[in-house]
Amino acid sequence: MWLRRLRIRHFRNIEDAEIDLVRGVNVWIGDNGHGKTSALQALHVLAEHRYPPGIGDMDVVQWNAPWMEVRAVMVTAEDTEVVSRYGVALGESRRRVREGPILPAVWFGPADLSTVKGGPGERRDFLSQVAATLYPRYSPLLRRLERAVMQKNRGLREHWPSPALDSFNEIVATTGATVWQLRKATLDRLLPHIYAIHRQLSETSSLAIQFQQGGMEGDLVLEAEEVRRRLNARFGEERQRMVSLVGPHRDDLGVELDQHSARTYASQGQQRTIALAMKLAIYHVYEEFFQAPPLVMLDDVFSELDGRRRALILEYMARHDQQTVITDTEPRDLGTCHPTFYRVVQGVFQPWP
Amino acid sequence: MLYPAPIQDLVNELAKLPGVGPKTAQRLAFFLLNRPQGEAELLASAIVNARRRIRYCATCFNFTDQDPCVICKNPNRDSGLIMVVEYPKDVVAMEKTHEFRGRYHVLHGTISPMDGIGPDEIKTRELLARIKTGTVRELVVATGSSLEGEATALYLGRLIKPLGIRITRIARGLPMGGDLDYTDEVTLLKAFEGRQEL
Repeated sequence: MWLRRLRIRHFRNIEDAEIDLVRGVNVWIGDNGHGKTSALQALHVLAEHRYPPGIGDMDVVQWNAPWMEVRAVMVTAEDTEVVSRYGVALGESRRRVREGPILPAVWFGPADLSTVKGGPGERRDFLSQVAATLYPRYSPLLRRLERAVMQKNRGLREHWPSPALDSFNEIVATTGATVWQLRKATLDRLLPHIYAIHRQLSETSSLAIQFQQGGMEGDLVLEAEEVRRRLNARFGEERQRMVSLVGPHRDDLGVELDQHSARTYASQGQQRTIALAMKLAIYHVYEEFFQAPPLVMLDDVFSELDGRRRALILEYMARHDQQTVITDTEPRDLGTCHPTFYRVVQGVFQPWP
Repeated sequence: MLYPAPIQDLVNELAKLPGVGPKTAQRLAFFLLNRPQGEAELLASAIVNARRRIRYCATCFNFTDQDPCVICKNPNRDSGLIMVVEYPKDVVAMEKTHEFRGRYHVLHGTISPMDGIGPDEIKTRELLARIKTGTVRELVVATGSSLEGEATALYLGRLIKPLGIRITRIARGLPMGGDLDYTDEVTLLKAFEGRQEL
């Protein structure tokens, strides 16, 4: 599946833009702050019916407008055309329009490095983002779990008596077990690809990534009954410390390079290689899972990559059955790709040259 | 510019209503001011009347203008079968089926630490007292499927199971006449989990 004829209205600093997309490589050139990344975010919302991590409704609707809409024509695998649409109207009650099939998308951006360098939350986001695309029940489940943890924490802080608080603990256990199962399944799909790509980029160092269940020790526990038992076992301690200690909200991925924590000991370059391997692995997982290559979005990443890593990414883009959108501050040599260019000035997109 | 005090008071009061923001409150206020005097007075007296005459039924805690309420008073309704709901509007929804022949218990809320609502803030003690009178055979928990509705159901389960009466939870699944392709993934999975032998 791929998208053509993209139209973006009232999205961030873009008033109204029409961009012709081609199958293959699309490059949007422009100075910083002119709307390239905004347009790419709009494309992500349209493709996955979901925002990229870190933004929400309130961030995307243009400041002086009550609504935003992104639409495009989606060409399906059977070569039929359907309209794909995502819109939000703010106001006293928020309305949302989603139309058209979901097109899995992989986003590369300067913030990817934080998957290795940042805190556990960033690694949870990495897993969640993939899990949500593979398993539609993941996002609603995670939202329910997060709310249950908030309720439980409030109860713990205010020393609620047991029976009333137990029910929230119970929900943390049951939804938590499922979230753990889905995260584990997601990681199992990603790992072989992460390792293979990493070996390709770095012959000398060996990478090991481990799922660390929040507040649990020893082997993974995924079965609901056992999860409940383990949660109950630490409930007393949670009461004492007045905070939830066990659950997916405290998960992390242990990323080790040659048996040392990559977060602390790896060089910036090594961290970048790991982050790139993790991202490219998503591409493979989506391709396997959906039996079609995903939409690839590269937000201002070439300036930070050395020749070898750039060449690897270009290898992926050279595949003709896939759609790629790149934002950059200047046109650069993209090897065998024959990209279509757009120039972006103040939120206005013009074909170029 | 500020409105004359009587208008401002009206706007302020209307804005306290759920789902009404300052803009809507203003619109409602001007609507009321533009209607004939008699209509506004009808509305005012309807509000005052409802407040004055409506109270909780001492048995089921539904809103009523007579105590016990018409449902609790009706000898044809099964006093051994009690449906527990969050709000009076849920009683109305269930009554529309004309099929449920039991009685109700209205909790007036759900357990929610973040809102400072514990079991004692909703009518759970009253429910327990009612069960201990000995006529109840089965309790149907019909709280909503929100996190708090679910937690309240679990709480009631723990509380009441030891008393030896039957306690059930209403099923979740597809709406009647609903298409599979319009149903969200979580509901579909729940419907699948709750599948029954044909």
